[in-house]
Amino acid sequence: MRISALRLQDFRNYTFQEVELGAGLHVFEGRNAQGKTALLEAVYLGATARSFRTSKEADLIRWGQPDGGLHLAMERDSGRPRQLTMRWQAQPLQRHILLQNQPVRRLADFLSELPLALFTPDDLELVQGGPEMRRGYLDLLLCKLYPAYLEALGRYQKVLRQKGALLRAQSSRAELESWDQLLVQFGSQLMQFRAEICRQLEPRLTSLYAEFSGETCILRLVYRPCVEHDFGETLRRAHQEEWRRRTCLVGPHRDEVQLSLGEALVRRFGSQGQRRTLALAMRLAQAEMLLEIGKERPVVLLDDCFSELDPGRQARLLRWLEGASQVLITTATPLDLSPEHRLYRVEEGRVRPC
Amino acid sequence: MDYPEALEELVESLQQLPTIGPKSAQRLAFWLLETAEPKALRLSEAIRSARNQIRPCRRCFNYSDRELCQICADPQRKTGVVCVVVQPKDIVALEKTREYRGGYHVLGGLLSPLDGIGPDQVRIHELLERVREEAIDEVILALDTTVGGEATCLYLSRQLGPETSVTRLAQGLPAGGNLDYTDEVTLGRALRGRRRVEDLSPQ
Ligand SMILES: [Zn+2]
Repeated sequence: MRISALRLQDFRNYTFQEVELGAGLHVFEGRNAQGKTALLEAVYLGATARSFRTSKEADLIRWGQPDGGLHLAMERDSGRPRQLTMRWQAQPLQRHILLQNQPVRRLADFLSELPLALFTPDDLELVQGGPEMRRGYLDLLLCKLYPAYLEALGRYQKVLRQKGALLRAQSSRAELESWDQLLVQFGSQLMQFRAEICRQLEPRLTSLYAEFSGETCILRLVYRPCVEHDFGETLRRAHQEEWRRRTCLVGPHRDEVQLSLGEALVRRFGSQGQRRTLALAMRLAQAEMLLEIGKERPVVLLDDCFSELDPGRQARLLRWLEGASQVLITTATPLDLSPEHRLYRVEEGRVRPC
Repeated sequence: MDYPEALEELVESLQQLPTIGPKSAQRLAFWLLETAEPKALRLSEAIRSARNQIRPCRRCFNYSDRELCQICADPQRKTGVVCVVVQPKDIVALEKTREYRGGYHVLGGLLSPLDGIGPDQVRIHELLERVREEAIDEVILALDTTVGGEATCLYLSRQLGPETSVTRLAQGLPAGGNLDYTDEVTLGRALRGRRRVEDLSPQ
Protein backbone atom coordinates (compact mmCIF):
# COMPACT_ATOMS: atom_id res chain seq x y z
CA MET A 1 0.00 0.00 0.00
CA ARG A 2 1.14 3.54 -0.56
CA ILE A 3 -0.38 6.97 -0.24
CA SER A 4 -0.53 8.90 -3.49
CA ALA A 5 -1.94 12.12 -2.02
CA LEU A 6 -2.61 13.50 1.43
CA ARG A 7 -5.03 16.37 1.91
CA LEU A 8 -5.52 18.24 5.17
CA GLN A 9 -8.20 20.78 5.91
CA ASP A 10 -8.35 22.65 9.20
CA PHE A 11 -6.28 19.85 10.66
CA ARG A 12 -3.85 20.83 13.48
CA ASN A 13 -2.08 23.99 12.25
CA TYR A 14 -2.93 23.37 8.58
CA THR A 15 -5.61 25.49 6.93
CA PHE A 16 -5.49 23.64 3.64
CA GLN A 17 -2.67 21.50 2.34
CA GLU A 18 -2.32 18.93 -0.37
CA VAL A 19 0.80 16.79 -0.66
CA GLU A 20 1.46 14.48 -3.60
CA LEU A 21 3.46 11.44 -2.63
CA GLY A 22 5.18 8.73 -4.62
CA ALA A 23 6.96 5.48 -3.89
CA GLY A 24 10.15 5.42 -1.82
CA LEU A 25 11.60 7.88 0.69
CA HIS A 26 10.06 11.24 1.55
CA VAL A 27 11.78 13.58 3.98
CA PHE A 28 9.88 16.41 5.70
CA GLU A 29 12.33 18.91 7.12
CA GLY A 30 11.43 21.76 9.44
CA ARG A 31 11.86 23.27 12.89
CA ASN A 32 9.71 22.06 15.77
CA ALA A 33 6.01 22.96 15.99
CA GLN A 34 5.75 23.79 12.26
CA GLY A 35 3.50 20.83 11.39
CA LYS A 36 5.89 18.02 10.41
CA THR A 37 4.53 15.49 12.86
CA ALA A 38 0.93 16.41 12.02
CA LEU A 39 1.53 14.94 8.54
CA LEU A 40 2.51 11.60 10.01
CA GLU A 41 -0.26 11.85 12.56
CA ALA A 42 -2.79 12.19 9.74
CA VAL A 43 -1.50 9.05 8.05
CA TYR A 44 -1.45 7.20 11.37
CA LEU A 45 -5.04 8.21 12.04
CA GLY A 46 -5.97 6.83 8.64
CA ALA A 47 -4.47 3.49 9.62
CA THR A 48 -5.57 3.13 13.23
CA ALA A 49 -8.33 5.73 13.89
CA ARG A 50 -6.12 6.90 16.76
CA SER A 51 -3.53 9.59 17.21
CA PHE A 52 -0.12 8.77 18.63
CA ARG A 53 0.10 12.29 20.09
CA THR A 54 -3.17 12.91 21.84
CA SER A 55 -6.20 11.13 23.20
CA LYS A 56 -8.28 14.29 22.80
CA GLU A 57 -9.64 14.23 19.29
CA ALA A 58 -10.78 17.85 19.60
CA ASP A 59 -7.08 18.83 19.41
CA LEU A 60 -7.01 17.63 15.81
CA ILE A 61 -9.30 20.39 14.59
CA ARG A 62 -7.53 23.65 13.79
CA TRP A 63 -8.01 26.09 16.66
CA GLY A 64 -11.35 27.91 16.55
CA GLN A 65 -12.73 25.97 13.56
CA PRO A 66 -16.08 24.11 13.65
CA ASP A 67 -14.64 21.05 11.89
CA GLY A 68 -11.55 19.66 10.23
CA GLY A 69 -10.30 16.53 8.59
CA LEU A 70 -8.07 14.63 6.26
CA HIS A 71 -8.26 12.71 3.03
CA LEU A 72 -5.94 9.94 1.88
CA ALA A 73 -5.79 8.81 -1.72
CA MET A 74 -4.10 5.43 -1.56
CA GLU A 75 -2.92 2.79 -3.95
CA ARG A 76 -2.79 -0.91 -3.16
CA ASP A 77 0.19 -3.05 -4.16
CA SER A 78 -2.08 -4.37 -6.91
CA GLY A 79 -2.52 -0.81 -8.24
CA ARG A 80 -6.16 -0.56 -7.12
CA PRO A 81 -6.99 2.94 -5.81
CA ARG A 82 -8.59 3.46 -2.38
CA GLN A 83 -10.07 6.62 -0.88
CA LEU A 84 -10.26 7.36 2.82
CA THR A 85 -11.78 10.45 4.44
CA MET A 86 -11.91 11.32 8.13
CA ARG A 87 -13.69 14.36 9.49
CA TRP A 88 -14.07 15.70 12.98
CA GLN A 89 -16.79 18.05 14.07
CA ALA A 90 -16.07 20.17 17.15
CA GLN A 91 -19.38 20.58 18.92
CA PRO A 92 -20.58 18.08 19.84
CA LEU A 93 -17.38 16.20 19.10
CA GLN A 94 -18.07 13.71 16.34
CA ARG A 95 -15.96 11.66 14.00
CA HIS A 96 -16.96 10.48 10.55
CA ILE A 97 -14.97 7.95 8.55
CA LEU A 98 -15.61 7.28 4.89
CA LEU A 99 -13.92 4.47 3.03
CA GLN A 100 -14.49 4.57 -0.73
CA ASN A 101 -17.07 7.28 0.06
CA GLN A 102 -19.08 4.86 2.23
CA PRO A 103 -19.49 5.45 5.96
CA VAL A 104 -17.50 2.93 8.00
CA ARG A 105 -19.66 1.17 10.58
CA ARG A 106 -17.32 -1.47 11.86
CA LEU A 107 -13.87 -0.43 12.98
CA ALA A 108 -12.61 -3.85 11.88
CA ASP A 109 -13.36 -3.09 8.22
CA PHE A 110 -11.30 0.03 8.48
CA LEU A 111 -8.32 -1.22 10.51
CA SER A 112 -7.38 -3.85 7.95
CA GLU A 113 -7.18 -1.22 5.21
CA LEU A 114 -3.83 0.53 5.60
CA PRO A 115 -0.86 -1.46 6.95
CA LEU A 116 1.57 0.84 8.70
CA ALA A 117 4.60 0.99 10.96
CA LEU A 118 5.42 4.06 13.03
CA PHE A 119 8.77 4.80 14.65
CA THR A 120 9.00 7.57 17.24
CA PRO A 121 11.52 8.52 19.95
CA ASP A 122 8.92 7.24 22.47
CA ASP A 123 9.37 3.70 21.15
CA LEU A 124 12.03 3.26 23.80
CA GLU A 125 9.12 2.90 26.20
CA LEU A 126 8.22 -0.37 24.46
CA VAL A 127 11.32 -1.82 26.03
CA GLN A 128 11.80 0.11 29.25
CA GLY A 129 8.22 1.13 30.05
CA GLY A 130 5.56 -0.81 31.94
CA PRO A 131 3.86 -3.98 30.67
CA GLU A 132 0.96 -1.92 29.27
CA MET A 133 3.33 -0.64 26.56
CA ARG A 134 4.07 -4.15 25.34
CA ARG A 135 0.43 -5.21 25.62
CA GLY A 136 -0.48 -2.19 23.50
CA TYR A 137 2.17 -3.22 20.97
CA LEU A 138 0.66 -6.71 20.64
CA ASP A 139 -2.89 -5.33 20.62
CA LEU A 140 -2.29 -2.92 17.77
CA LEU A 141 -0.62 -5.59 15.65
CA LEU A 142 -3.34 -8.17 16.37
CA CYS A 143 -6.19 -5.71 15.82
CA LYS A 144 -4.81 -4.80 12.42
CA LEU A 145 -4.35 -8.43 11.46
CA TYR A 146 -7.41 -10.16 12.91
CA PRO A 147 -10.92 -8.65 13.13
CA ALA A 148 -11.80 -11.43 15.60
CA TYR A 149 -9.16 -10.11 17.98
CA LEU A 150 -10.49 -6.57 17.78
CA GLU A 151 -13.97 -7.87 18.55
CA ALA A 152 -12.80 -9.96 21.52
CA LEU A 153 -10.65 -7.10 22.87
CA GLY A 154 -13.52 -4.63 22.68
CA ARG A 155 -15.84 -7.00 24.49
CA TYR A 156 -13.24 -7.97 27.07
CA GLN A 157 -12.66 -4.31 27.93
CA LYS A 158 -16.38 -3.66 28.27
CA VAL A 159 -16.80 -6.62 30.62
CA LEU A 160 -13.75 -5.51 32.59
CA ARG A 161 -15.18 -2.01 33.08
CA GLN A 162 -18.52 -3.46 34.20
CA LYS A 163 -16.87 -5.85 36.63
CA GLY A 164 -14.68 -3.04 37.97
CA ALA A 165 -17.79 -0.93 38.60
CA LEU A 166 -19.43 -3.87 40.40
CA LEU A 167 -16.40 -4.36 42.63
CA ARG A 168 -16.28 -0.67 43.47
CA ALA A 169 -20.01 -0.47 44.21
CA GLN A 170 -19.93 -3.72 46.24
CA SER A 171 -23.59 -4.13 45.30
CA SER A 172 -24.53 -7.65 44.21
CA ARG A 173 -21.93 -10.31 44.65
CA ALA A 174 -24.18 -12.92 43.02
CA GLU A 175 -23.66 -11.08 39.74
CA LEU A 176 -19.89 -11.42 39.84
CA GLU A 177 -19.81 -14.97 38.46
CA SER A 178 -21.74 -13.96 35.34
CA TRP A 179 -19.26 -11.20 34.50
CA ASP A 180 -16.39 -13.57 35.25
CA GLN A 181 -17.78 -16.15 32.87
CA LEU A 182 -17.69 -13.54 30.08
CA LEU A 183 -14.22 -12.40 31.15
CA VAL A 184 -13.05 -15.99 30.69
CA GLN A 185 -14.80 -16.33 27.35
CA PHE A 186 -13.27 -13.23 25.75
CA GLY A 187 -10.03 -13.24 27.77
CA SER A 188 -9.17 -16.79 26.66
CA GLN A 189 -9.42 -15.69 23.05
CA LEU A 190 -7.06 -12.77 23.72
CA MET A 191 -4.53 -15.03 25.42
CA GLN A 192 -4.54 -17.53 22.55
CA PHE A 193 -3.92 -14.81 19.98
CA ARG A 194 -1.20 -13.19 22.07
CA ALA A 195 0.63 -16.47 22.70
CA GLU A 196 0.59 -17.27 19.00
CA ILE A 197 1.79 -13.86 17.81
CA CYS A 198 4.62 -13.91 20.37
CA ARG A 199 5.74 -17.29 19.02
CA GLN A 200 5.85 -15.77 15.55
CA LEU A 201 7.51 -12.54 16.65
CA GLU A 202 10.44 -14.04 18.52
CA PRO A 203 12.54 -15.48 15.66
CA ARG A 204 11.94 -12.37 13.58
CA LEU A 205 12.97 -10.11 16.42
CA THR A 206 16.07 -12.22 17.08
CA SER A 207 17.36 -11.90 13.54
CA LEU A 208 16.49 -8.19 13.29
CA TYR A 209 18.22 -7.47 16.58
CA ALA A 210 21.32 -9.40 15.54
CA GLU A 211 21.40 -7.56 12.22
CA PHE A 212 21.09 -4.11 13.78
CA SER A 213 23.26 -4.57 16.85
CA GLY A 214 25.95 -6.86 15.52
CA GLU A 215 25.66 -8.71 18.85
CA THR A 216 25.26 -12.43 18.93
CA CYS A 217 23.61 -13.01 22.32
CA ILE A 218 20.30 -14.82 22.49
CA LEU A 219 17.20 -12.64 22.46
CA ARG A 220 14.04 -14.02 24.02
CA LEU A 221 10.54 -12.63 23.82
CA VAL A 222 8.37 -14.53 26.27
CA TYR A 223 4.64 -14.11 26.69
CA ARG A 224 3.85 -14.21 30.41
CA PRO A 225 0.08 -14.40 30.73
CA CYS A 226 -1.38 -13.31 34.05
CA VAL A 227 -3.13 -16.68 34.20
CA GLU A 228 -1.10 -19.78 33.32
CA HIS A 229 -3.75 -22.49 33.85
CA ASP A 230 -7.54 -22.62 34.11
CA PHE A 231 -8.65 -18.99 33.96
CA GLY A 232 -12.07 -19.72 35.47
CA GLU A 233 -10.66 -21.53 38.49
CA THR A 234 -8.03 -18.83 39.07
CA LEU A 235 -10.76 -16.19 39.04
CA ARG A 236 -12.83 -18.15 41.54
CA ARG A 237 -9.87 -18.39 43.88
CA ALA A 238 -9.25 -14.65 43.54
CA HIS A 239 -12.86 -13.67 44.30
CA GLN A 240 -12.35 -12.95 47.97
CA GLU A 241 -9.27 -10.86 47.30
CA GLU A 242 -10.88 -8.97 44.38
CA TRP A 243 -13.96 -8.17 46.43
CA ARG A 244 -11.83 -6.93 49.31
CA ARG A 245 -9.50 -4.81 47.16
CA ARG A 246 -12.34 -3.68 44.88
CA THR A 247 -10.37 -4.19 41.69
CA CYS A 248 -9.94 -6.75 38.89
CA LEU A 249 -6.78 -8.66 39.69
CA VAL A 250 -6.86 -11.55 37.23
CA GLY A 251 -6.94 -11.57 33.43
CA PRO A 252 -5.07 -10.64 30.25
CA HIS A 253 -5.28 -6.94 31.16
CA ARG A 254 -2.37 -7.82 33.46
CA ASP A 255 -0.33 -9.87 30.97
CA GLU A 256 3.38 -9.18 30.54
CA VAL A 257 5.74 -9.71 27.63
CA GLN A 258 9.30 -10.22 28.80
CA LEU A 259 12.30 -9.33 26.70
CA SER A 260 15.67 -10.74 27.65
CA LEU A 261 19.17 -10.82 26.19
CA GLY A 262 21.16 -13.83 27.29
CA GLU A 263 20.06 -14.29 30.88
CA ALA A 264 19.27 -10.63 31.63
CA LEU A 265 15.93 -8.84 31.38
CA VAL A 266 16.45 -5.93 29.01
CA ARG A 267 14.02 -3.74 30.91
CA ARG A 268 16.21 -3.85 34.02
CA PHE A 269 19.72 -4.66 32.85
CA GLY A 270 19.97 -3.62 29.21
CA SER A 271 22.18 -0.71 28.13
CA GLN A 272 20.61 2.34 26.50
CA GLY A 273 22.02 1.28 23.14
CA GLN A 274 20.58 -2.23 23.48
CA ARG A 275 17.18 -0.85 24.41
CA ARG A 276 17.13 1.54 21.50
CA THR A 277 18.07 -1.14 19.02
CA LEU A 278 15.55 -3.55 20.46
CA ALA A 279 12.76 -0.96 20.23
CA LEU A 280 13.69 -0.39 16.59
CA ALA A 281 13.69 -4.14 15.96
CA MET A 282 10.23 -4.44 17.56
CA ARG A 283 8.81 -1.88 15.17
CA LEU A 284 10.52 -3.51 12.21
CA ALA A 285 9.17 -6.89 13.24
CA GLN A 286 5.68 -5.41 13.47
CA ALA A 287 5.98 -4.16 9.89
CA GLU A 288 7.27 -7.50 8.66
CA MET A 289 4.38 -9.36 10.29
CA LEU A 290 1.87 -7.01 8.68
CA LEU A 291 3.40 -7.78 5.31
CA GLU A 292 3.63 -11.51 5.87
CA ILE A 293 0.15 -12.08 7.27
CA GLY A 294 -1.69 -9.13 5.74
CA LYS A 295 -0.10 -9.59 2.29
CA GLU A 296 0.18 -5.85 1.66
CA ARG A 297 3.41 -3.83 1.91
CA PRO A 298 3.19 -1.35 4.80
CA VAL A 299 3.73 2.39 4.77
CA VAL A 300 6.54 3.31 7.18
CA LEU A 301 6.59 6.51 9.25
CA LEU A 302 9.70 7.72 11.08
CA ASP A 303 9.01 10.64 13.36
CA ASP A 304 12.11 12.54 14.35
CA CYS A 305 14.09 9.45 15.25
CA PHE A 306 16.35 8.79 12.31
CA SER A 307 19.06 11.21 13.41
CA GLU A 308 19.24 9.49 16.81
CA LEU A 309 20.71 6.38 15.25
CA ASP A 310 24.45 6.00 14.70
CA PRO A 311 25.65 5.95 11.06
CA GLY A 312 25.94 2.16 10.99
CA ARG A 313 22.35 1.63 12.11
CA GLN A 314 21.13 4.38 9.82
CA ALA A 315 22.69 2.59 6.87
CA ARG A 316 21.15 -0.74 7.88
CA LEU A 317 17.77 0.86 8.38
CA LEU A 318 17.92 2.49 4.95
CA ARG A 319 18.67 -0.89 3.44
CA TRP A 320 15.69 -2.43 5.26
CA LEU A 321 13.46 0.45 4.17
CA GLU A 322 14.10 -0.35 0.53
CA GLY A 323 11.57 -3.17 1.01
CA ALA A 324 8.83 -0.79 2.18
CA SER A 325 6.53 0.61 -0.45
CA GLN A 326 6.67 4.11 0.98
CA VAL A 327 8.56 5.84 3.78
CA LEU A 328 7.77 9.21 5.34
CA ILE A 329 10.48 10.72 7.56
CA THR A 330 10.33 13.91 9.61
CA THR A 331 13.47 15.63 10.84
CA ALA A 332 14.54 18.91 12.41
CA THR A 333 18.11 18.65 11.13
CA PRO A 334 19.11 17.94 7.52
CA LEU A 335 19.70 14.23 6.91
CA ASP A 336 22.52 12.82 4.91
CA LEU A 337 20.64 10.24 2.87
CA SER A 338 22.51 8.72 -0.02
CA PRO A 339 19.62 6.93 -1.77
CA GLU A 340 17.15 8.83 -3.84
CA HIS A 341 14.51 10.65 -1.89
CA ARG A 342 12.09 13.55 -2.16
CA LEU A 343 12.64 16.50 0.15
CA TYR A 344 9.93 18.82 1.48
CA ARG A 345 10.23 21.83 3.75
CA VAL A 346 7.58 22.34 6.43
CA GLU A 347 7.01 25.83 7.79
CA GLU A 348 4.06 27.31 9.69
CA GLY A 349 1.51 24.81 8.45
CA ARG A 350 2.73 24.76 4.86
CA VAL A 351 4.54 22.01 2.98
CA ARG A 352 6.81 22.92 0.07
CA PRO A 353 8.54 20.37 -2.15
CA CYS A 354 12.19 21.25 -2.79
CA MET B 1 -34.02 38.29 20.44
CA ASP B 2 -35.49 35.92 23.03
CA TYR B 3 -38.54 33.83 22.23
CA PRO B 4 -41.72 34.62 24.15
CA GLU B 5 -41.72 32.49 27.29
CA ALA B 6 -44.37 29.99 26.16
CA LEU B 7 -42.55 29.35 22.89
CA GLU B 8 -39.25 28.95 24.68
CA GLU B 9 -40.87 26.35 26.95
CA LEU B 10 -42.24 24.43 23.95
CA VAL B 11 -38.83 24.35 22.25
CA GLU B 12 -37.13 23.20 25.43
CA SER B 13 -39.63 20.44 26.13
CA LEU B 14 -39.36 19.16 22.56
CA GLN B 15 -35.60 19.15 22.92
CA GLN B 16 -35.88 16.71 25.80
CA LEU B 17 -37.10 14.04 23.38
CA PRO B 18 -34.54 11.47 22.25
CA THR B 19 -32.80 12.20 18.90
CA ILE B 20 -34.17 15.78 18.86
CA GLY B 21 -31.52 18.51 18.79
CA PRO B 22 -32.02 22.28 19.14
CA LYS B 23 -32.64 22.83 15.42
CA SER B 24 -35.26 20.10 15.07
CA ALA B 25 -36.94 21.26 18.28
CA GLN B 26 -37.23 24.73 16.85
CA ARG B 27 -38.66 23.45 13.58
CA LEU B 28 -41.22 21.28 15.36
CA ALA B 29 -42.26 24.12 17.67
CA PHE B 30 -42.88 26.45 14.74
CA TRP B 31 -44.84 23.76 12.94
CA LEU B 32 -47.02 23.23 16.01
CA LEU B 33 -47.76 26.95 16.14
CA GLU B 34 -48.41 27.36 12.43
CA THR B 35 -50.49 24.25 11.74
CA ALA B 36 -54.27 24.08 12.22
CA GLU B 37 -55.18 24.04 15.89
CA PRO B 38 -56.94 20.61 16.07
CA LYS B 39 -53.92 18.99 14.44
CA ALA B 40 -51.56 20.47 17.00
CA LEU B 41 -53.80 19.76 19.96
CA ARG B 42 -54.26 16.16 18.81
CA LEU B 43 -50.64 15.61 19.86
CA SER B 44 -51.10 17.00 23.35
CA GLU B 45 -54.31 14.97 23.75
CA ALA B 46 -52.57 11.81 22.53
CA ILE B 47 -49.75 12.29 25.04
CA ARG B 48 -52.23 12.86 27.87
CA SER B 49 -54.41 9.82 27.15
CA ALA B 50 -51.48 7.51 26.50
CA ARG B 51 -49.95 8.56 29.82
CA ASN B 52 -53.29 8.04 31.58
CA GLN B 53 -54.38 4.79 30.01
CA ILE B 54 -51.23 2.83 29.24
CA ARG B 55 -49.58 0.98 32.10
CA PRO B 56 -47.46 -2.12 32.46
CA CYS B 57 -49.34 -5.42 32.29
CA ARG B 58 -49.65 -6.85 35.80
CA ARG B 59 -48.21 -10.16 34.69
CA CYS B 60 -45.61 -9.57 31.96
CA PHE B 61 -45.02 -5.77 32.12
CA ASN B 62 -45.84 -5.31 28.43
CA TYR B 63 -47.69 -2.04 27.74
CA SER B 64 -51.44 -2.42 28.06
CA ASP B 65 -54.64 -0.42 28.54
CA ARG B 66 -56.11 -3.15 30.76
CA GLU B 67 -54.78 -4.92 33.79
CA LEU B 68 -53.63 -7.79 31.59
CA CYS B 69 -52.18 -7.13 28.15
CA GLN B 70 -53.62 -8.63 24.98
CA ILE B 71 -51.14 -11.47 24.97
CA CYS B 72 -51.61 -12.43 28.63
CA ALA B 73 -55.40 -12.27 28.23
CA ASP B 74 -55.40 -14.54 25.16
CA PRO B 75 -56.50 -18.09 26.15
CA GLN B 76 -55.01 -19.49 22.93
CA ARG B 77 -51.45 -18.70 24.03
CA LYS B 78 -49.33 -21.57 25.29
CA THR B 79 -48.69 -21.65 29.04
CA GLY B 80 -45.55 -22.99 30.68
CA VAL B 81 -43.21 -21.11 28.35
CA VAL B 82 -42.08 -17.51 28.66
CA CYS B 83 -39.87 -15.39 26.46
CA VAL B 84 -37.79 -12.76 28.28
CA VAL B 85 -37.19 -9.43 26.52
CA VAL B 86 -35.72 -6.07 27.58
CA GLN B 87 -38.40 -3.67 26.33
CA PRO B 88 -42.04 -3.87 25.19
CA LYS B 89 -40.97 -2.96 21.65
CA ASP B 90 -39.02 -6.23 21.46
CA ILE B 91 -42.35 -8.06 21.86
CA VAL B 92 -43.63 -6.30 18.76
CA ALA B 93 -40.61 -7.51 16.79
CA LEU B 94 -41.02 -11.10 17.99
CA GLU B 95 -44.78 -11.14 17.39
CA LYS B 96 -44.19 -10.17 13.77
CA THR B 97 -42.47 -13.50 13.16
CA ARG B 98 -45.76 -15.30 14.08
CA GLU B 99 -43.63 -18.24 15.18
CA TYR B 100 -43.90 -17.89 18.90
CA ARG B 101 -47.14 -18.62 20.78
CA GLY B 102 -46.09 -18.48 24.45
CA GLY B 103 -46.03 -15.63 26.97
CA TYR B 104 -43.53 -12.83 27.54
CA HIS B 105 -41.72 -11.10 30.38
CA VAL B 106 -40.33 -7.58 30.06
CA LEU B 107 -37.19 -7.09 32.16
CA GLY B 108 -36.97 -3.34 31.70
CA GLY B 109 -33.18 -3.29 31.44
CA LEU B 110 -29.93 -5.25 31.39
CA LEU B 111 -27.39 -5.71 34.15
CA SER B 112 -24.92 -2.83 34.02
CA PRO B 113 -22.92 -2.04 37.15
CA LEU B 114 -21.50 1.04 35.40
CA ASP B 115 -25.00 2.50 35.30
CA GLY B 116 -25.89 1.25 38.76
CA ILE B 117 -28.26 -1.38 37.34
CA GLY B 118 -28.15 -4.63 39.29
CA PRO B 119 -30.62 -7.52 39.66
CA ASP B 120 -32.87 -5.40 41.90
CA GLN B 121 -33.21 -2.63 39.32
CA VAL B 122 -34.64 -4.94 36.64
CA ARG B 123 -37.61 -7.34 36.98
CA ILE B 124 -35.68 -10.48 37.81
CA HIS B 125 -37.46 -11.29 41.08
CA GLU B 126 -40.79 -10.90 39.32
CA LEU B 127 -39.65 -13.37 36.67
CA LEU B 128 -38.47 -15.95 39.21
CA GLU B 129 -41.76 -15.62 41.06
CA ARG B 130 -43.76 -16.13 37.87
CA VAL B 131 -41.74 -19.18 36.92
CA ARG B 132 -42.60 -20.72 40.31
CA GLU B 133 -46.25 -19.70 40.41
CA GLU B 134 -47.18 -20.41 36.80
CA ALA B 135 -45.23 -23.68 36.65
CA ILE B 136 -43.13 -22.40 33.76
CA ASP B 137 -40.61 -25.00 32.63
CA GLU B 138 -39.21 -23.29 29.56
CA VAL B 139 -37.62 -19.84 29.46
CA ILE B 140 -36.39 -18.31 26.22
CA LEU B 141 -34.02 -15.38 26.59
CA ALA B 142 -34.35 -12.91 23.74
CA LEU B 143 -31.83 -10.33 24.93
CA ASP B 144 -29.28 -8.25 23.01
CA THR B 145 -25.97 -9.85 22.16
CA THR B 146 -24.12 -6.98 23.84
CA VAL B 147 -21.99 -7.85 26.88
CA GLY B 148 -24.81 -6.55 29.08
CA GLY B 149 -27.21 -8.95 27.37
CA GLU B 150 -24.78 -11.85 27.72
CA ALA B 151 -24.18 -11.18 31.42
CA THR B 152 -27.92 -10.94 32.08
CA CYS B 153 -28.51 -14.27 30.30
CA LEU B 154 -25.84 -15.99 32.36
CA TYR B 155 -27.17 -14.52 35.58
CA LEU B 156 -30.77 -15.51 34.78
CA SER B 157 -29.90 -19.06 33.81
CA ARG B 158 -27.99 -19.49 37.07
CA GLN B 159 -30.93 -18.10 39.06
CA LEU B 160 -33.48 -20.23 37.21
CA GLY B 161 -31.56 -23.39 37.98
CA PRO B 162 -31.36 -26.71 36.17
CA GLU B 163 -35.06 -27.60 36.58
CA THR B 164 -36.01 -24.94 34.02
CA SER B 165 -35.03 -25.31 30.39
CA VAL B 166 -33.26 -22.05 29.53
CA THR B 167 -32.44 -21.32 25.90
CA ARG B 168 -31.48 -18.14 24.17
CA LEU B 169 -31.80 -16.65 20.74
CA ALA B 170 -28.32 -16.28 19.46
CA GLN B 171 -27.90 -17.71 16.01
CA GLY B 172 -28.22 -15.14 13.30
CA LEU B 173 -28.37 -12.15 15.60
CA PRO B 174 -25.56 -9.77 14.73
CA ALA B 175 -22.95 -9.61 17.51
CA GLY B 176 -23.49 -6.60 19.73
CA GLY B 177 -26.79 -5.96 17.98
CA ASN B 178 -30.12 -4.94 19.39
CA LEU B 179 -33.16 -7.10 18.93
CA ASP B 180 -34.87 -4.01 17.76
CA TYR B 181 -32.87 -3.68 14.54
CA THR B 182 -33.17 -7.29 13.50
CA ASP B 183 -35.57 -8.19 10.72
CA GLU B 184 -38.35 -10.77 11.07
CA VAL B 185 -36.68 -13.44 8.95
CA THR B 186 -33.53 -13.34 11.08
CA LEU B 187 -35.56 -13.36 14.28
CA GLY B 188 -37.64 -16.31 13.06
CA ARG B 189 -34.48 -18.26 12.29
CA ALA B 190 -33.10 -17.33 15.70
CA LEU B 191 -36.26 -18.57 17.41
CA ARG B 192 -35.99 -21.97 15.77
CA GLY B 193 -32.24 -22.33 16.31
CA ARG B 194 -31.92 -21.23 19.92
CA ARG B 195 -29.28 -22.74 22.13
CA ARG B 196 -28.97 -23.72 25.76
CA VAL B 197 -27.29 -20.94 27.72
CA GLU B 198 -24.65 -23.26 29.19
CA ASP B 199 -23.42 -24.06 25.68
CA LEU B 200 -22.63 -20.44 24.91
CA SER B 201 -19.26 -20.13 26.56
CA PRO B 202 -16.36 -22.56 26.34
CA GLN B 203 -15.91 -23.00 30.11
ZN1 LIG C 1 -48.99 -9.27 29.76
